[in-house]
Amino acid sequence: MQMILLFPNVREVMKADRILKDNGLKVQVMPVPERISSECGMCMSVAPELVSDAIRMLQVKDITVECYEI
Amino acid sequence: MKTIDTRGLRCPAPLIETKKAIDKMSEAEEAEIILDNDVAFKNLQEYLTDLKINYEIKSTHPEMIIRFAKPGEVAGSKRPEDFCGVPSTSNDYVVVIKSSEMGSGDPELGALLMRAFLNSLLENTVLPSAILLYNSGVRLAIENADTLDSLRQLEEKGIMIMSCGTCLDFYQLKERLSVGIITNMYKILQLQTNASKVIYP
Repeated sequence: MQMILLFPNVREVMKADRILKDNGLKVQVMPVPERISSECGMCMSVAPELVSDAIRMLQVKDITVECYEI
Repeated sequence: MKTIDTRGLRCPAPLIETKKAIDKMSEAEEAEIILDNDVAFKNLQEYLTDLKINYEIKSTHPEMIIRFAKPGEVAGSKRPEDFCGVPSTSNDYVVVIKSSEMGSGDPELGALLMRAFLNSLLENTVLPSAILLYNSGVRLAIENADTLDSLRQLEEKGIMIMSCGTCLDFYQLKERLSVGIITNMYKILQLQTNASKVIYP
């Protein structure tokens, strides 16, 4: 199982990336899987045990994030 | 009988000439193709088989001669060029990363795209034989780089990760290289020369 975090646009991905990095959380940037969207979007893959931490850190900073299991 | 002399021509030209002749021929009309090239001789036979044309080999030395009669219907799903391609090997390409960013423009976006590129490469069915890093591209292979894990996983899949020694020296990163090996200009040139394809993200 892999968890991915989706954002409204790439600028939010970049903001989220900075926030998570500052919090010492490791994420992998990857293209949004084609079955979710055919557009050239970026998302993040996070270890399942870190997903709730990541979402909390982002929500504190007002980042809109959606979580998908792939 | 039509005679098509393809001596001196290299694949796919003999196959194209043959196809042109077939298109002009009437049913049951015979043709002889003269070839002086082993590769084209072999490829033409495969092409005729695909077209469902029965042929006879009239001579193999000094020239090769193939004779056939045009059938009522000429089927065939492929183009002459399809019989002349070099079979692609699974990892006959190299990826050259000449900067720490993918494309030019916003540096932060470029860095993000590069990370996504490497992570996508990991999932690609056809992997490259090598990834060459030079100029600021070497930063991707340094300790604490956010591309390090991806490069390590690519290395585990058997891909050579090679960083330019001069570049590591210039950026004073030699001691911090954390994946792959240090290479030189000769090797960077040689790997690109031998690859059938080079990909620049």
